[in-house]
Amino acid sequence: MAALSRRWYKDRLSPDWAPKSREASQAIFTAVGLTGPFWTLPGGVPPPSSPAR
Amino acid sequence: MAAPLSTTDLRVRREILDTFVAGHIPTRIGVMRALDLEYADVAASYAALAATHVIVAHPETGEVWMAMPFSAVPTPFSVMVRGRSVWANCVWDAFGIAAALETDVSFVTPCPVSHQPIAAGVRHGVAYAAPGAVVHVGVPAPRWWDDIGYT
Repeated sequence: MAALSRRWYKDRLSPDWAPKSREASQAIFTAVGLTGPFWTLPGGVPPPSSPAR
Repeated sequence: MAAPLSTTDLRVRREILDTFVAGHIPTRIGVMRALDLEYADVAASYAALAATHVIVAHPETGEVWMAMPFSAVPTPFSVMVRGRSVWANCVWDAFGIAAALETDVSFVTPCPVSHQPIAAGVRHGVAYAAPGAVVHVGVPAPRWWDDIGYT
């Protein structure tokens, strides 16, 4: 969880902050091993590495 | 799709977060005064920030309810950071406060099952939690914003 939080929030107070795209947000989940339909944000499709359910 | 955030929206966002970091709860009046804006401008920015999920406005007051990772209302995640206590929305956000502020934090939250306190935090940049602690995410990502207060 802490690894996800770090990637998700590390730029939150940066002067250069901008909203994350859906793709960038999804990439954070994938980077910390959170894949599959449960972790697929609206408007997206499960990444290819997602386990089939 | 929501419109892109304006320069004013971004200034309002930053003022909201800075107010939380300072240990206070932001208000539209406070933001208006701090940034020398008209009330209508602040209200418009709140609407834009809520539409883009940057903040969650309280449904009754219109004030900030959540400006992730911070909460304006008490939650089970009271986070000690830099000698003061702030509220996080969830465990994700409790650790997120450490990430956003690049500092150590500590928090104790009750286990929703056993009601026993669970200590966790970030010490010297390393996250820790009580042995056996498990994070339960009960709502799938596609439905987080159906009811973000519940999520």
